[in-house]
Amino acid sequence: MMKGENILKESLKKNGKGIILMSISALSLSVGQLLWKLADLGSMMGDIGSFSGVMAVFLKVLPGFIIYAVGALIMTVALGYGELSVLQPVNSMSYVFALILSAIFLTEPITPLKVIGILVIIAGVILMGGSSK
Amino acid sequence: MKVVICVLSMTCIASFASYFLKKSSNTDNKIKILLSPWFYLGGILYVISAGINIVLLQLIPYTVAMPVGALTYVWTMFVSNRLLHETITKRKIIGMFVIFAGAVCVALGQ
Repeated sequence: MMKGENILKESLKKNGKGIILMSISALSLSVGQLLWKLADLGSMMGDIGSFSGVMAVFLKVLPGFIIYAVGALIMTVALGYGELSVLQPVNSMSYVFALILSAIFLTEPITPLKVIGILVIIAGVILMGGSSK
Repeated sequence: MKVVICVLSMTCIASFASYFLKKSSNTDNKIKILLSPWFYLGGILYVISAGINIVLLQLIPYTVAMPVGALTYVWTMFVSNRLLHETITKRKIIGMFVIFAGAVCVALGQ
């Protein structure tokens, strides 16, 4: 337990700011993906041949892309606070947020295995966080 | 074959996107990031990678596409080692595998 606490402390001390900002960026990514999912593009692909069809798809995809862009901006700021090889994997927090968001908005069930997966990903992120020099 | 090409291009491009974003973040004044050409190059690569991701999701189920995306971190480790002189430590490799294992659990839990 002590050792686990130390790893967490060390991780936050070295890369805390970067990890938190990267996590916010990851949240934007999952919101962007959720918006694409909710846009239900599959049903619109039949109209893609016409200009209005393309515009309709473009407008549907746009909100997701804007949120993605904001996420990229936050990610860029985050990357200034530590090593790239440490901070980029924090992006995997988007899986965690995606699970939570799809449970809320798409009513996809959260299974025990998903909860284990979330905890393992967070453990991996903390482990990476303390690994820079 | 189409799937392999999608996966490799998506993850490689995402790696280089984050490298260029990292390059542009190397400034004290965060507003200056917006003036850096590296930011826009990274952003464009990022959008391309996201586009390939959308295509990939039409080809394979989300549950498979998701852990596969973690391949990006492997390329990033090499890219940051070669181009940014970051060290590859045992702990980074272990952390990467732990994250991948978590992604597989999440995917299998669907």
